[in-house]
Amino acid sequence: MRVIIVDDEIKALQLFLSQIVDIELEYRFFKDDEKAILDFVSNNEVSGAFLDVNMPNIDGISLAKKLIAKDPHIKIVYVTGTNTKMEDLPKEIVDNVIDIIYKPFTTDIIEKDLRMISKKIPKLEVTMFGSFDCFINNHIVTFSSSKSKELFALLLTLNGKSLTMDQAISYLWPDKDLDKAKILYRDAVWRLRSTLEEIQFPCVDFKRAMLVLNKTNIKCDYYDFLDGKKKIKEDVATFLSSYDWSLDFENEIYLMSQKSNK
Amino acid sequence: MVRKNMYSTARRIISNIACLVMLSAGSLFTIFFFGNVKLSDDFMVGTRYVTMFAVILMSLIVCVEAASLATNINATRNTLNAAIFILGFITSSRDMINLLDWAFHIEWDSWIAIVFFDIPHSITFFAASYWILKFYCNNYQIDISNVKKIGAILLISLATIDLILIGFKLQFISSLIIVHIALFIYFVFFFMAHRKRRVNNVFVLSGLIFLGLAGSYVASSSGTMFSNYPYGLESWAMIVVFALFLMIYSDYLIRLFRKSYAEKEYQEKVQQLQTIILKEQINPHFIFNTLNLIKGIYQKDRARGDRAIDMLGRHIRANVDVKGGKLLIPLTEEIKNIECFVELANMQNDEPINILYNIDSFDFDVPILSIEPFIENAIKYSCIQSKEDGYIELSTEEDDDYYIIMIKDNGKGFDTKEHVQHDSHGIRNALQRFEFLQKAKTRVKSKVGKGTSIEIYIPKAGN
Repeated sequence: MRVIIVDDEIKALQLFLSQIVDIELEYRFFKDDEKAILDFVSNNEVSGAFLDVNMPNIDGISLAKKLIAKDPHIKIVYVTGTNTKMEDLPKEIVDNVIDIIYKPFTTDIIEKDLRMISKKIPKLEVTMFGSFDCFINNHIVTFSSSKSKELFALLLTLNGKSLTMDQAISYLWPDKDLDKAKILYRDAVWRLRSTLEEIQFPCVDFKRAMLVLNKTNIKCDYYDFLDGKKKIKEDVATFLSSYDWSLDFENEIYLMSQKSNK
Repeated sequence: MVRKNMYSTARRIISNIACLVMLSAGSLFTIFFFGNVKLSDDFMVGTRYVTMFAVILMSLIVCVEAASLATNINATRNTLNAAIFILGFITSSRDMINLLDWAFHIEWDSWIAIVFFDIPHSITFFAASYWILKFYCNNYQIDISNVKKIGAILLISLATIDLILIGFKLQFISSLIIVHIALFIYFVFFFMAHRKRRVNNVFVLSGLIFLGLAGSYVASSSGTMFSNYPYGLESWAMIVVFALFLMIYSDYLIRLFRKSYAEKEYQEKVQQLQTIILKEQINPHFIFNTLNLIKGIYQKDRARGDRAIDMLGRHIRANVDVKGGKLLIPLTEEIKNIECFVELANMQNDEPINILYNIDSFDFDVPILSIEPFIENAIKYSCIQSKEDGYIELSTEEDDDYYIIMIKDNGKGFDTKEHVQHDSHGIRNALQRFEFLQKAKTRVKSKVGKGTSIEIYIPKAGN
């Protein structure tokens, strides 16, 4: 995949791009030579362009228009220190702009946008035996509260079946009184929603008083085990061992593993 | 608020009914008075000038309507068409015959008078009525899809009966029956608009135009039944109609003026409120503290340092958005600002802040940085961290009329009567913006030792 980067403050972006290793990437920097940029785009197949909105010698918006005229499929990412929003951009280019990155930015955001340019959909990897952890693009996912993590574990365990608020409360907050538990439930739901939004992996459908997990693009050792693809080397008892409610499911897993061993 | 509305609606209904009574009285007076009195020649000459004047004034109205349609100032074809037909109505009246008689000394055969004057008179009356009713349909959302069709069919059939009656020189019958049916249709429209609470000055004034038109038609057609025709009456009615048109225009101009004035005042107030948040929000102390902290974090954990910078960047960006003139943002975005503020604050404190997001409804907008000050204040002053089960709860819900935001803590609390917290500018400003930008109702409750709760009710209609 080939991208071009047009920026008067090149240095920062260069450092970030050199850290990204797992995407096959060819990139080319331009400072402010508009003719060279357009020549390059017409002679090479370029998938994406990182542009600043305001540069000393080029206007990032009119440059985007010219790039789109050359190649209607080109994806544009704006990197900016200003306050530009999607709705400020002219209509002709909005469809091609996949993101606006604000400074200071992090590697994760650049990586996410590169993945969008290359149309690679990220995979969520989950380990449920041993310790329960989630990884996206090989980065560990940090949940903002332990209960939102636990709620996600419960959704994964339910394997695509819907989870109602009452069910969730009976699993996660069995001892709390109902009103308090409802508040804690909504807090966990909200935090889970924020986390999934942040990693841009919208795998949970948040309906009113009900949650449903969409399993596509989730790679999970538990699911592999259910499909019979994988035998569990670890003790079955390590399945989500930090959560009390996992005992309810362990029995089933134990029986299954017995069956598959035979 | 509700009482005032009821009062003004009642006033409007009464003014309409009063007009109808006056109209009926006027036509009865016409029938009994003019019918039996021989009018003097001087009076006849006078009415001719009135007729001339009325025609000129109505032409003026047509010009104004056409001009406003051409320049597209809040105008539709309906009012122009109505004005054109009202002009046609007066030019085909018997007053006009009287005027032409006098100017050109033409002797009119009674059949010619019927074909060239009485029949167009009837047609223009019903056509003008149709356009006025159509104007109501469009402007007052009388949206039963068949109303326009039914109105048109009724008016056309009434007009046909009227024309047949004119053919037999029996138009006084239509004055007794048909015109009153037309009036009845108008009142049905009036009550439809009233039920939608959309009756305003323009509605009443244009209604009076219709009543004036109908009244003069009643008078003219009932006048034919007597030996003396009530000359001049329709011309006078047209001058009244002209005055009503002028009142509609002035009403429009006044509203335009008031709106622009209110807009200006609104903008000024918004500007003032936004400047205050800017002063309150960018808190150098907080930013330098965080920068210092980030320096420390980087020594130990690079990823956490990155995250801290990310959060600080977002925090500053939210403030820059205020400077950019943003007024309202989605609630989800405001909560993100809060989350990032809380995360930064947590990095600085040993004890993490226990904040609960009890978010049940989130598809609505709030003023930018309007909830954050409450959270900030709660963190600073409620001392919940030193309490064992201390918490801040941000909850949102909705009912049929309101989105409700509640910010609760179980910290120290304060006496709402005496206490003026030294950081309460930010809070007062936030409450004001809720009240001002979204017409929300707010309530602050606090008890020493029990905690503080802030409730904000944002009406759904204003969102």
